[in-house]
Amino acid sequence: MRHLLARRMKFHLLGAFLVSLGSAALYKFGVAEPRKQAYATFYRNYDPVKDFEAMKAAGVLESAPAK
Amino acid sequence: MLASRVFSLVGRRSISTSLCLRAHGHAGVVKAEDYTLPAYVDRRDVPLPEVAFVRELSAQQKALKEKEKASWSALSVDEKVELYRMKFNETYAEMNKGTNEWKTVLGGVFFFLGFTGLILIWQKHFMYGPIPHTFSDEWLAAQTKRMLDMRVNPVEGISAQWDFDNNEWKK
Repeated sequence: MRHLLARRMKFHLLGAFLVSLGSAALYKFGVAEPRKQAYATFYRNYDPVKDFEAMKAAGVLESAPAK
Repeated sequence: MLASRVFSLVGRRSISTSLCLRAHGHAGVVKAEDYTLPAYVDRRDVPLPEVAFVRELSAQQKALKEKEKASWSALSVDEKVELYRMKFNETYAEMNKGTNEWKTVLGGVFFFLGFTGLILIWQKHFMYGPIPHTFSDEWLAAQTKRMLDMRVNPVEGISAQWDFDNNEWKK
């Protein structure tokens, strides 16, 4: 019957701390880091001219027809 | 003159409540309603309610209350339990015990979700017209090819899943 609020508050304070830190860590290593890696690998050997020629050949650029 | 007419209106009180009716028969003293008296309540945050649980004690219980005034070590375990039950309705354990209500709630929720699903099936079959032609397989294939040609979302999206050298989806 004693320290009802103190016990509950301690439990929930610790829990809130862990949950917020955990979700932040989860997001960083689940979403943010993979995204950064994806962009790094994409642009490492990216040739924009080659990309442009491919799009032009496919005929999707109105101002740069395939001919 | 107007003020005195207002005063006569205020002075005349109509007997509308039953309390007032009873008061007129009992020399002006109103019997206290149950809800106005201190009440017993089983609550976690009220360890000692305002009144004991059992109000009218039987002769046996009255005798036990007399015995309680003497030394408590003279009381047997059963008598102590009886005294407890006279004072309190439920123990803390009984009070805090959970119910099975959540099963009913969950069951009801699923039932009505299922019923809604039936309604949606009926609607799709009997009510809605055909979906647009832009959802046909040929259109979707041409649409996807155009998206890949344009290199839509090449880093993490659809063009990242396509192998442009071998003209197939990446494994």
